[in-house]
Amino acid sequence: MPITHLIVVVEFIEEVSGWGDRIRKKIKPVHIFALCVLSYFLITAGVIYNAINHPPPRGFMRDEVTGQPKVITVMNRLTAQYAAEGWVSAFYYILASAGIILTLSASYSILGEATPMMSLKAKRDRKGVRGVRSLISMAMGVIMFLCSYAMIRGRFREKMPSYY
Amino acid sequence: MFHKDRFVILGLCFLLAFTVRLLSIVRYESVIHEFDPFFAYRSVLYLMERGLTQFLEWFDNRSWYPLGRIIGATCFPGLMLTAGALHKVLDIAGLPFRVRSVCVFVAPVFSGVTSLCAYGLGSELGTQASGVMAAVLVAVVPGYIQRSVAGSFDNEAVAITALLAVLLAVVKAVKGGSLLLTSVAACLYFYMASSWGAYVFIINLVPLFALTAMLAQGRLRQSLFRFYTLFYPMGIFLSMQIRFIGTQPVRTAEHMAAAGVFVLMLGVEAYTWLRRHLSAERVRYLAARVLLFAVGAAVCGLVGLMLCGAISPWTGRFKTFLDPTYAKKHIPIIASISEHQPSTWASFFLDTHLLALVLPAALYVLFTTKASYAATMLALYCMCAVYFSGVMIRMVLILAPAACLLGGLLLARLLDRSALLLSLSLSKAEETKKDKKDKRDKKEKEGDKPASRPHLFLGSLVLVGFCAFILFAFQKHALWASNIYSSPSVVQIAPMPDGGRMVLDDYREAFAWLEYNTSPNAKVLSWWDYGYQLEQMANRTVIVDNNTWNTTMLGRVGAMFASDEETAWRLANEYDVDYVLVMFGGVIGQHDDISKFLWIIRVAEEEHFPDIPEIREGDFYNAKGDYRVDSAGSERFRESLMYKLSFHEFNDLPTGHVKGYDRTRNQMVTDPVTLTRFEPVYTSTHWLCRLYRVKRPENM
Repeated sequence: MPITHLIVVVEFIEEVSGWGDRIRKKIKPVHIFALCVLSYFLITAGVIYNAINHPPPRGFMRDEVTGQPKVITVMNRLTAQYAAEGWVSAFYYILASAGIILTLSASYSILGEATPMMSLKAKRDRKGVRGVRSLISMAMGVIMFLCSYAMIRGRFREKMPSYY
Repeated sequence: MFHKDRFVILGLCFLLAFTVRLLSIVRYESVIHEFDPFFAYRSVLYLMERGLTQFLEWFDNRSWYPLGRIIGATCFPGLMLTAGALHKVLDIAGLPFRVRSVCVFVAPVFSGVTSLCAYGLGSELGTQASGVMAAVLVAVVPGYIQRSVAGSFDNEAVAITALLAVLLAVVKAVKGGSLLLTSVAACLYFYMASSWGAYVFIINLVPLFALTAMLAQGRLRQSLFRFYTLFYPMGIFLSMQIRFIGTQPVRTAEHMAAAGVFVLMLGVEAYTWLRRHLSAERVRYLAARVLLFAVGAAVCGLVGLMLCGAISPWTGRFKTFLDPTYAKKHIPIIASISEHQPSTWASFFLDTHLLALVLPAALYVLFTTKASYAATMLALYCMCAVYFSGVMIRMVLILAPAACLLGGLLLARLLDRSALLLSLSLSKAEETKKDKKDKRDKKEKEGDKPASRPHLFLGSLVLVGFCAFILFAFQKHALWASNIYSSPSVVQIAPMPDGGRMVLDDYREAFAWLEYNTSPNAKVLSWWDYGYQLEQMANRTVIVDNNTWNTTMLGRVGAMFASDEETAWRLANEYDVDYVLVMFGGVIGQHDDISKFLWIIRVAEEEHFPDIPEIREGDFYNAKGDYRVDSAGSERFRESLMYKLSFHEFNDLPTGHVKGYDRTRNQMVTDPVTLTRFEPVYTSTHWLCRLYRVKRPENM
């Protein structure tokens, strides 16, 4: 094959890297952040554990009177979980982080600074409204974290009764 | 900003990291924990006795009885050499500690060093404040305490220090472009490769970091190029000096990513350099020629090497990371280890407490600050660590420092914000007329009340209080976790109802009996879990131990335990076995060999031996499908050697008001067990260890 034909290949590679450059410019930090949060959610829900051990979504035993399932958490065993239990707990982890993110965002508003580039707030609020609304958001963020923390602790105590 | 106080704080961090790990020594005595540390301890004793050259060429004929084991070539010597060097240095300095004391305290000392490395990395990431917060968190995070408590003389004790040190050196080297720091990074990588099998994580993380940096910046910067083209060859060459690693860095698929990035970087740099000196046309012509050669050579070379078997694919242990279901289907030995199970949501909370709750928020902070090499490295490290800790519980150890660094960044940021808020609310600045006019305008537009100073003060108090609360909660949790992780599983301490405590020292009792009452050349058979302890404490030859390198021998030993007495006796005589050790937890209600028996059967089932009657897991369940030890259990199970050795004379043992009540399985054993070929010689106080002698043919 003559060398001239291969130059087409090289040109093609250059063109592809041009596309790659444009794609690279289109990917924003918030996309990567969303990917990270999604994968964190999946891993802490125990997706891999569910894939290997195939646990049922919740316990089999049912309450005699109402017919509702009795157990949704594997009691007293840290190394086993039901599938639904994992999803719910991962949701609490993400909720706690969301509270902290809210607090941080609100603190930028209160101090009258521009929120950083990856903000999830509306453009109109970006420039810093030093208002009571931001203070309330800050407090809400803290409350979100504390509530999720309390829920996680409660669920954890079911699995490990000797928790303080 | 230079604060002198940071030295005091870091010194306190070191002290904290050291003291929080000493609970097991305070509670009982300074003893080596678990199983693997006994092997490391025995190796250190050998090293101190015979010297370095003999240690690196050590062939051990007291384990894996007929075959032996080349320990010099199949262990990671870093830990032993560190402990040996420490002992030597203290000796010369006039402090002749016992070798055992040095081994027990290596882990706490190195964890103090880890928190200093975390300070370094944290201050690269953000300000010095985030470094200090990271140091404090790393000192007490439960995920790290669990493997570095005093007495846990295992590879991870020094390897995590090496991990953080390598990452710190890499980040500093790429930032400054200094070749000296790069060589330091390569030497630290050599230290990590000599201490732990997870050096593969570093040699894949650093290329991934380089690739990400290249892609994110759109071009290859000089500092990154200089760093990687020195780090990769030097690191690989140094790591090949370790006999266990040998030529793996150029052979196995686990290292190919690093090689690929190396070649890619050279190619990109060559292309960029050519473009600067030649016109576009000529460069394309040259590149086409090079492409022809390169692609042809690569394809032929790769195919040829794979056909010859020179490049091996991913090995079993690491393949589990790529395909988590692999081990369960194909390698029951790896799947049976409790540390290798996939983790549930609770493991993350137990081992990293609030850090698991704030990790995405910390990533948010990372993504909203100015991009830097440290930030990229840490984000990649964290996400890889999260994935791996989902696959194996043991890997939460790698996640813990990453979570601490990010958590330190976040906490520093939160405290920073609250300090700004506080200073704003307390500032003496007068509100000017312009401000008042602005406020009124804004109020009309948005309908939002401007926050007055008392509100701001309250808000800042809430934030500071919140940070203080979560730090207090973390500290309490860490102390509690350090308490539960400080159990040397060799000695067990149980609290009594009257407030006192009961100490179960059965293991050491049985091993001491073996050491004093049997011939020095006696061979002891047990399941592989207890091999290292037997070798070190009882000083006897064992048939299989924790190294589990020979699955055929393991299968045969498993078959021995799973077969009936006659077959087992025949197999035992094949291996010259003199004593058999069995762990039985029925009297005190503990997990024992009968609980593990199904895994033993699975291991034996994998190997199909023509001279042993076939072993099927299904035979050991009764007709209803239950695994029972009382008279409702399956016949095959009750004829097996493991059952007979565990429950011999158990039906006559008074436990409370009844006789023969198995507290582990909550069932009552009533049928007596008869042994013809094995003779009981010792049972420890709480029946945890049971020793039997194999009768020789002449005595029958």
